[in-house]
Parts: sequence; structure tokens; C-alpha cells
Amino acid sequence: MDDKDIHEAKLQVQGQLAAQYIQEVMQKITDKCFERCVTRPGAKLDDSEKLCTAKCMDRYLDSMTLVSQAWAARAKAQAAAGGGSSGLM
Amino acid sequence: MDAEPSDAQARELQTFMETENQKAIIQQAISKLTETCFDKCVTKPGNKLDSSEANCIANCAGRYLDSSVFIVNRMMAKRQQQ
Repeated sequence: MDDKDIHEAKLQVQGQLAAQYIQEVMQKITDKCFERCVTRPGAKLDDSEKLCTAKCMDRYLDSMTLVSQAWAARAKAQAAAGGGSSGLM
Repeated sequence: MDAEPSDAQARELQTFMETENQKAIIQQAISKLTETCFDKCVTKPGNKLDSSEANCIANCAGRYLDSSVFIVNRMMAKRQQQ
């Protein structure tokens, strides 16, 4: 195997993991926002349900950004304090 | 093209997979924590995350991590007492 093959294999693994992660996040958002916004499913997804779902999704993604930032800040503080990652999960 | 990776390449791939695996575990934990804090803090999603919601999310994530550390430490202390 030459190094180019190794590089390609790594990219492929990273691509698959990223696709899997996005799918999981979308699944979670669908579950959450469907439950919250489509309380009585009608003949079609009406405008208010769509608006609610859009807001729910956007605020969920905002929340994820904040949680990631809090996590990163904590990991950084812990690394600076000389501790390992213990307790972070 | 040789199909078999060399020893050095095998080690490199092993390290790569361990790192990716660790990243996936962290992503999972962040995803789970997002869901927990979203449920606690964003009861009625609006046009933007307002400051009290944003505060609540940051506190929720921080206190969850504190709780996790607290429980790990307490469990270790308990085991030492035995």
C-alpha cells in the first residue's frame, strides 16, 4: 500500500463517520421537533407546523453549538490544570 | 500496488482509528447533552435563542460536566473506604 492509499482510506473513514453523525443528529431533531410541533397530524404539514419545526431545528442547532463550546472550554481548562479527560463523560 | 499495509502503516492506521473513535464518542456525548439541555431550557423555540435560554444551556452543560466529575470522585472515594 502506498501512502496515497492510506490517505484515501482515512478520508473515506472520516467521510463515513461524518455522514453517520449528521444522520443521527437529523434523526434526533426530527423526533424532537415532530413531537413538539406536530401534536395532531393533519392531512398535510401546515404552515404553522412548518414554522414551528424550522424554529425548533434552528434553536436545537444553536443549543448544540453552545454545548460544544461549553465542552471545549471545559476540556481546555482541564488540560491546563494537568488533568486527563476523566470525568468529562 | 501492494495490498498489504506495512507495519508502520498499520500502526498509523491504528492510531488514526483510535483518534476517530474518541472523536465519535465525544460527539455522541455532546449530542446527548444537547438533547438534555434543549429539553430543560428551550421550552418554546423562538426566532432566536434568547439570552436567558442561552444562559440556561451554558449552565446546563457546565453543571452536567460538574456532576459527572463529582460522581466520578465520589465513586472513587467510596471504593477507597471499602
